Amino acid sequence: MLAILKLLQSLFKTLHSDGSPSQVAAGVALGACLGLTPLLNLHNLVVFALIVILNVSFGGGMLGWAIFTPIGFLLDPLFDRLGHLLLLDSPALRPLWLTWFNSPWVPYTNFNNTVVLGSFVSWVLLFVPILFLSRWALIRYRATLGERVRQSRFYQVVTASRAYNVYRWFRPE
Amino acid sequence: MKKSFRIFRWKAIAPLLLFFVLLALFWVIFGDRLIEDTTEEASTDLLGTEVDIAGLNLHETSARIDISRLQIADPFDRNRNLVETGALILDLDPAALLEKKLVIDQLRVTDLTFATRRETPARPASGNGYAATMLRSVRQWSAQFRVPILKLTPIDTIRQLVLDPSQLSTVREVQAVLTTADSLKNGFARDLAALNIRPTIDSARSLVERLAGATPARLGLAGTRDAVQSIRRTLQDIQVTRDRIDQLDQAGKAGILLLRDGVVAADQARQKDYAFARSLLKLPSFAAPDIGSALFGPVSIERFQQAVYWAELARKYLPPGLQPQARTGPKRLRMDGVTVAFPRTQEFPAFLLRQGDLDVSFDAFGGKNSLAASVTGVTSEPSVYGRPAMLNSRATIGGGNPMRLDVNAVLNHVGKIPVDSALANLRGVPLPAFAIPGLPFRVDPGAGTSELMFALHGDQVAARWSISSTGARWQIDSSKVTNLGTVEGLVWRVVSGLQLLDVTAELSGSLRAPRFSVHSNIDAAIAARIQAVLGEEVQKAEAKVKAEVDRLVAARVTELRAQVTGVTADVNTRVTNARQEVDGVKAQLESRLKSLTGLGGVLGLPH
Repeated sequence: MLAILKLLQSLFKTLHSDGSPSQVAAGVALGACLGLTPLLNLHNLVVFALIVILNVSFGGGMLGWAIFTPIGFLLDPLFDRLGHLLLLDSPALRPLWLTWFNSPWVPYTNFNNTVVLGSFVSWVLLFVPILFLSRWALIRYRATLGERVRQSRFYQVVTASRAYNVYRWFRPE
Repeated sequence: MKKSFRIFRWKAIAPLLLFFVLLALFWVIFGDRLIEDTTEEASTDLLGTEVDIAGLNLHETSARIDISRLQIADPFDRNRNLVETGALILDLDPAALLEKKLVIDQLRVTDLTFATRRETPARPASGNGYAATMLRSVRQWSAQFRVPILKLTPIDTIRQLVLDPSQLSTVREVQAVLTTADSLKNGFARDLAALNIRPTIDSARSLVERLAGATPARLGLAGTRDAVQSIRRTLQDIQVTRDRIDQLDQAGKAGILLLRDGVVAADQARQKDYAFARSLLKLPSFAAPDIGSALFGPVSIERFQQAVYWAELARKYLPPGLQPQARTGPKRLRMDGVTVAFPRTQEFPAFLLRQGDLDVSFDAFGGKNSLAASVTGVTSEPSVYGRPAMLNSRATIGGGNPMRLDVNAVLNHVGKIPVDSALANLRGVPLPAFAIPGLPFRVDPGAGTSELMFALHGDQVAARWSISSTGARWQIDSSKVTNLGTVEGLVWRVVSGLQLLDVTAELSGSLRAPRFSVHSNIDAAIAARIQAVLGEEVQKAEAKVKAEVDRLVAARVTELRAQVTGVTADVNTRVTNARQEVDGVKAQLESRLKSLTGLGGVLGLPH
């Protein structure tokens, strides 16, 4: 329950005041990686650390994760085919894989799995479109619906929770 | 004043470090358990049988894993463990671990037992895994050996025989030939009638009669010329008719030959009917190879089946070549995908057991015992490692008359064609008792010698399994002692006194279509005994079979022969009569022509 509440707080605050649209959009684009690719992989630990350390919106990151997780599940067959194409059906890339997957640490990324590689490559390709699309969407939201939501009772209740303080640690500066 | 933009959020470093510390703490607390569960699950899936681990400790600083009490269940007997270890210590190569590869520099086992009873039956292998699929395939493979079961029909039943004439091929053959004979006879008569020789003969006779006593002088020049031309035209017609009769004769003779072939085929079909009727009696086989297969076929096939299963698994998990190896990805909420390995020479293989050693000495069975085994080069990428996997083990157990066990195996998957071979030799070891299929008997070979040789070169298999014992004990199901049939009793009298047991089973050829044979020292003895006791009865039964078949088919064959003879005579008679008539009138015409043309030359008549 606390987690849901925190997520809602994060969502509202992100959409309304925490950080510039660019910071939120960067957070969403990074968080998309957590949603699009299978979670328990080394690269997601790096992305999570980036969301925390970089001066992007942490809430945006969580929002991106939440939005792109169901999309990730839906697109798994596509990721699998893309990964298959890259790993098995592209002889030109084979020397690269041979080097990578016989090097220290790289195999822990699990990029030799079709779904992991396919989804990661898709995320890399979609990073810039997600960044600009989410920035545009946030600006439009704040200019249209934002103020009405801010005045709503529900918003007041959610943001008044003490758990919100935890979230404040990661507010963009 | 505009706030300056900073890339990093330095105050988040502390929570992030805390997060990593928590992760590390989680690993310290639950890491061993996670690895243990994963190892159990993966091993069970890989081997197609339950693998249990009592405890697992990972020593990260020394790259060592301690496993206590590893149990691997027998995939062919869920109540038994193939192998059970005490402490198992794996020294890992840390450099390989950085590449997510498992290279075991040294494997040590402090205690090892085989074929122990399980406390609880092992779970059956999952239906979708490779090993489970292979297990089913191997069982189907072994089912192809139709080992004959000794037919133990009580002697009284061979006196009864019920034959349905429609089952006999002689009857069907005779019926077919009779139909052909009828068809030939009718067809020949129809073709002869179609020749329509009567008008030609009548016309010729009329001409002969008309010219009776005619001379050139009486007919005059023109009359004689007309008469000669009429005779010649008629002679041409007669010759055409004669030719057609000859053609019809040829066709008739061909048909008769066909009928005679049919009679021969009916005689041959009768021999088949004798064999068929004999098979209905289910007479016991006197052939020693059949008896060997019936007695020891299933127990031999079980041994080969297990060898084929493990060899096929080894080929799957130790594949030759350096091509990328795709396998199903890990189970997770997301799609599994396919995980691809990219083997490269002079690198670590994904899995390698460099050296595994077992050297145990213990006091038991009234003497000093030793068990030594070594395994080298077991790897998931033999072409990367470049050397075959080898297993050597030797054990001596017991005091004055010790049991000896030698097992040697080489799995050479370095080249394109995998070559596997294994030789296991047990001497003085109590051999497991087994039931004789189809008979209420068991044999306990006692202490003896057993040897299994198995070689697989590509798809070609050459295997031999043998047991030899001088102290075999035969047991009979006590509830069936009083109800033994004649043949069962006979076999029991032969085997119950035998202490020497010597069985050899061989498998050869391709795995897809192998040849299998079994022979033992008691095959010939049983065969001879059955032959001696049942021979007379069987001969009587066979005579009865023959008489019964003859009774059902003899009348039909006689009818067939008569029909063929009748058709032959009919055809010959018709052809002969037609020829005689045609030839007779032809001779008369030629005579008239001669008489008219005798002066024709003088009168300038045409010849």
